[in-house]
Amino acid sequence: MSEFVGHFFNALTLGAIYALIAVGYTMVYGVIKLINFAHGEIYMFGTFLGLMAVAGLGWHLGFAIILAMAGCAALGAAIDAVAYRPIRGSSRLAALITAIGVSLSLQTVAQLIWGANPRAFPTEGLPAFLLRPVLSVAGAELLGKELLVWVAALLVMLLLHLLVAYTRIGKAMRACAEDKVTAALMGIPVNRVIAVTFMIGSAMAAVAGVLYSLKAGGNISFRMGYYPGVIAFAAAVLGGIGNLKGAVLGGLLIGFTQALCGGYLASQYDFAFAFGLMIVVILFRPWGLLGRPESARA
Amino acid sequence: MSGLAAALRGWLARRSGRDLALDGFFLALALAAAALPLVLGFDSKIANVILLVGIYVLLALGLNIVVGYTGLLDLGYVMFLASGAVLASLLMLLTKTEAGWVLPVGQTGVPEGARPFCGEGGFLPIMLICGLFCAGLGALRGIPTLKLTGDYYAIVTLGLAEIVFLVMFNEEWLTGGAFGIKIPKGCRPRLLGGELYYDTPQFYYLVLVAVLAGAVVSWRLQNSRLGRAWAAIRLDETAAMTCGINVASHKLIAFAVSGFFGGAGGALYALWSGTVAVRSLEVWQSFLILCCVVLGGMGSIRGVVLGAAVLISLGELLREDFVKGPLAGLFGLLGIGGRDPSVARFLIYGVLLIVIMRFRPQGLLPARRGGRPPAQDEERAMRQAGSELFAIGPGPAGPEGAASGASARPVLSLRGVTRDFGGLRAVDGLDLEVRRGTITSLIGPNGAGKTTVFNLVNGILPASAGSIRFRPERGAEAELAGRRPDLIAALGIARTFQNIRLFPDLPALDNVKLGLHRRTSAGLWAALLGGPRAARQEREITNAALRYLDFVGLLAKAQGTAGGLAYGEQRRLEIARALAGDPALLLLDEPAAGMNPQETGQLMELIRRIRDRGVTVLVIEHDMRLVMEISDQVYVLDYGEKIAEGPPAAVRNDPAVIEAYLGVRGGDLGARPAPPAGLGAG
Amino acid sequence: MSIAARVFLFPALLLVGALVAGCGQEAKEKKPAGQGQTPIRIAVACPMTGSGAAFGEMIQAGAKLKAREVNAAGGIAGRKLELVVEDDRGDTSEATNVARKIASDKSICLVVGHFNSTCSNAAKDTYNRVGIVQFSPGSTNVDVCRGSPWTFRNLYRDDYQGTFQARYARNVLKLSKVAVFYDNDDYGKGLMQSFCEEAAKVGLEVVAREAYIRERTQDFKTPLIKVKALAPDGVFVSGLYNEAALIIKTARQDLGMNVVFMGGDGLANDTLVKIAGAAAEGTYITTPFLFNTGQDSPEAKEFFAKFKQAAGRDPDTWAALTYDAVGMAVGAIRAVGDDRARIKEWFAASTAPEKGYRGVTGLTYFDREGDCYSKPAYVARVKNGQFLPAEKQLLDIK
Repeated sequence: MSEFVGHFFNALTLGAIYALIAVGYTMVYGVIKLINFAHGEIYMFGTFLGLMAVAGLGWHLGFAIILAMAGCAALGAAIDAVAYRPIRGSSRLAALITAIGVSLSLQTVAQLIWGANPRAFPTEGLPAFLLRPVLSVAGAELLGKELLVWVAALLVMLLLHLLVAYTRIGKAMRACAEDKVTAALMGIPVNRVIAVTFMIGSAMAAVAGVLYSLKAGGNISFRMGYYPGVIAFAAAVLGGIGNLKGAVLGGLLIGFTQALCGGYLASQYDFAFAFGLMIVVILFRPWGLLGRPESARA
Repeated sequence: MSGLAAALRGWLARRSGRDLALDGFFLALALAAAALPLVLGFDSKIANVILLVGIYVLLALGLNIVVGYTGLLDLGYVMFLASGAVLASLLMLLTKTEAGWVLPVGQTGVPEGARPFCGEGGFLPIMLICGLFCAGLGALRGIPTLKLTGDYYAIVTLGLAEIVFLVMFNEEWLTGGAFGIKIPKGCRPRLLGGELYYDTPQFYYLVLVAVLAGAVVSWRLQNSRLGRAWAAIRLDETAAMTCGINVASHKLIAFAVSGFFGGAGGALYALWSGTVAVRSLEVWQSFLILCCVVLGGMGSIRGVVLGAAVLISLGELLREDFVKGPLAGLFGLLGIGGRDPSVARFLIYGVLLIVIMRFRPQGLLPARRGGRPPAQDEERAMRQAGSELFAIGPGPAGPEGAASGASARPVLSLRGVTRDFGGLRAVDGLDLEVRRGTITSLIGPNGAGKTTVFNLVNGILPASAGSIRFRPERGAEAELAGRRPDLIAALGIARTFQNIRLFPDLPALDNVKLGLHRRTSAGLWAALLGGPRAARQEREITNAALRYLDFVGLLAKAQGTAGGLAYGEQRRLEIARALAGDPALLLLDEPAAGMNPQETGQLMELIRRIRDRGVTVLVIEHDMRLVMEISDQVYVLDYGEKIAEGPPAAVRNDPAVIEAYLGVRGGDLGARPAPPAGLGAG
Repeated sequence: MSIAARVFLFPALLLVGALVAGCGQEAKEKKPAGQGQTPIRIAVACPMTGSGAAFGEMIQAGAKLKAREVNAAGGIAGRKLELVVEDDRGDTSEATNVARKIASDKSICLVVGHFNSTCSNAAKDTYNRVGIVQFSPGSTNVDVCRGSPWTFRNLYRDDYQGTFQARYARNVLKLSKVAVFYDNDDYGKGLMQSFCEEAAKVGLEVVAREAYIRERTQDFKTPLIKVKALAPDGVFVSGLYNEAALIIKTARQDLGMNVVFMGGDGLANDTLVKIAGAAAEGTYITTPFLFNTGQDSPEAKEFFAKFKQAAGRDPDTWAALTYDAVGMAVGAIRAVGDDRARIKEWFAASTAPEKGYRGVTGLTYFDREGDCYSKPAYVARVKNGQFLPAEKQLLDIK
């Protein structure tokens, strides 16, 4: 039983992190229909920023996370301005290739700045409660850092929901996602809204990155963003790309599949199970779990 | 000999200056590739780079078929490369001992006295087997994913590639897992007296020949009926279906051919590397190949070759010492002196991708959009040559034909046809008949459901209820409800679209050729192997297409891109494409929209000519002059229901119709728009 | 000129330039070595990026130190020694590429490398085909020298290491149930297999064998939850320091598993401690060489001091092994010149202790395959963040 509860906690933690990354992916896609392959690299940069703050400057983790969010928001807006906005009118494939180029460039820059060796958050620099168990169910313990992941993810997504549903900028984002041209005609500054979307998505990725490397114990390196990026894309698509609730659902499902199938079936195939789930769902429901089918118009 | 020279001269005359320059460049490149190792040695770095470029060109050509020709984003192409490489390695390892066939995976030596399966010349069948296996894999992967659009298809291919990677990596009994499959010396295939390995001339020229073959095959496919169908699918799937193209089977063929290239390329890759470790064949290779295709120019063979050449050789070039030296110095200046300079090449790659997509998103050498400039005598010759393919209607119908046609059974009967969109009933219990050899019009205010009726007849939308029966002269009666659009087109129904669905990047002539698709049959093998019959059919298609263009008055614009035509010309082109299907029933959706009175007059003339040939025409229109002047029968729809039917004069004065358009008398007339010309006037 | 022509011209020129440059480079490298005062070139192939990058740093540092000393003392017969460092990224296909590049450069007379067993195995085909000595200071997989007349190494093999580990675990540490995590490549798998074979012989129960993929598997909680439920008293990690650090850290810190942790020589790098922090305390690792055992040879002491001064940090076993490898190579070149075939003959003849090379790590000589059995394995234990000799060393086993 303890094993199952352990896997359950783990699944929820992974799912929460994937949900955070997936939401950023899906937000950008919803507004400009771009598969932002560089999202994983923003996640990676955020983690490094947080690491530098804690290890290099000795900051408290909370401030480090805020710094990471701010830095990534700036980075996301910069990438949009430099790489994506100039080709806004071009084909989707051109945008995709540009995103691949950005991804590659960011990875290399990170490698040049921080070297090739993986790193970890120094244990001394972190608040003590993160490593202590805060809850024990049937012999399986929930650590502070895992609880932090749940709380942070929940908080961020709640804030995002409030933003999107109740604020002006949120309404503007939803309008742009529906129809950019009409939104512009209504006086909405579309480019600025897109930039804000990037900033929010990137900030969320930064949080996800810091939390993940806390959970996993390390592995902060220039390559760390590739896989989570692919997983997040899969999660977003699974839930229905462009749909925020879908991204959360997709992230949780993938986290659960990975943890439970990996735990009980074969751990070296854990990602295969997660991708397999996504493929099966898409084949039966091509627009994702919470997506809507696009109608064919003649 | 002189005939050949004349043909060559004619061919040269048709090539533009730019084309000739490019041809010259690639010829020089090919010659250099063939000759350089003779000077520098087959084990030199240059030869190695050219080999690697060649393999990637082959792979990129394969991906180009799905991405460039058919327009589907395949992110999982590496699974063919990996499958081909692994299968090739296993086949090469297959050896026959006295005990029978064995597969010594993971060992370093071949058992004594064993003969490998592939000895002299045995690698070619291996390449073929790998290609066919991956072709099957491609089709298999395609079957469940046919309905997926754009990005969903992309992520599914990516996910599948990841799963294939994990399976291959973890199942060591098959693939050697992390150790990989090493092809020991005794198992290496031989060809023409030499071993096939990365530094032998036999292998080098094998790769070059394979690349050449791949380019030729791509070129033949591109310019064939199959290639045209793929282009149509890429540009507009719905319109493609309306031309009678079976989108599903064409996509599967594309996947299979693409897989073949990947498998054959994988086999060559296995031989080049000597040890096939699946670990290195990870998903990011798909992205590299995709970059070669998009960077070079999607859909363009020369572009793909150039893209692969540039990207791969750049990667190797940036590793050279004369690059690393200055880079190391630069790093020292930036304070990161310890870093390995060869890392910077990925940054250069990335920035290059961004910059090229920014300033030249169509790629370095994009596929040429329009056709080649027409040659005078060619056109004249084509005009004069006969073509059985050129046919409109069963034959000119004289006045007695029209009269007898009116009393014959209706070509199209709708009974109780209903279509719901969720809670909205767009078409409600519609009964409608179109009599043979007549021009019937369907009118009504916007949103009345007229285009929806067309979509139901045409098969693009399924009816929620009711029956649609079609009775062509040649052919059995058929129920249309529930059929696929391409099958309905094959029965003899063609249509145009309200907001013009041409294939804008293709020449006008090709648009019409696509209309002829359902009446011709050259498929994959004809495209690959050619032969006199296929060539003749192509000529006939071209002849017929020119004549259809002539019929609508667009012969002079045959080679221009469809997207470049004036609006009125585009509408006529769409009609030509529809006529090319030799339909018994022609559906025209607002053909006069946006035309001035003079153009509208010409259009009416054209429609009458079509009717006089015996084709039944059903028209949706808002232009009342056109409706009143050419229709034999008019149906009026409002809110999905039929509110009036009859000859034009009767309908014009029907109070229900007037009410639908203008509202009830006695209201605030000052705010109403002026009534449409012709309605209610005299 | 139209825009199209200009855009096309750029990559066309690039290609042509690449061809010309490549040809020029080719011509330069075709010049056979041994003419006049040209430098003597030795290649060093190691992972400079990826999850073995820390090894690459140490390897490069050790090689460079030796090269500097040699050149400061007048070079080799008056000619300078030049190192050509190539990054194989720890990846098989990159290793093949690098091997081709090195082998086709006729001015290089020997290659010190590779480090990862997978890379050495992939590259040795090329080295054998073209005929250049490959001298590895770090590949321990059993197959590396097998069937490869041109491959040599100056450290033990994994069948020795794995056997050693299993016996140490059972006889010295008195463990009875062990879970094994292994990196799914030549090294990790090979070491795991030899460990498990010996474990079965000495009565050590292996309760789990969890595979992972280096650089892909980022989170080990899932397999560790499984392993924890099986209640082993030891965990053996057969892989490199990064993943090992994560495994140890997650097990100790997150799951509270207070078991004995053991690892192969892939953990022998202080990055293990940097990542795992306090959780790494008490971990046992085997290593081909150890400093500060109290019985250090004079060569070892001297090297330790020199390295620390030059690089500003303590050397580790890989720096020492590479230092010795380059030293032995220099000895070969001094003896027979820089002809590739003659160098190989020299190595192949160094099969007796009298003909061996005495360096920092001891006496290096080979058996008929090219393997080196003359050195023992050491056991180190992490104490206060440093690798110190374990309290008990196991006697040399054959």
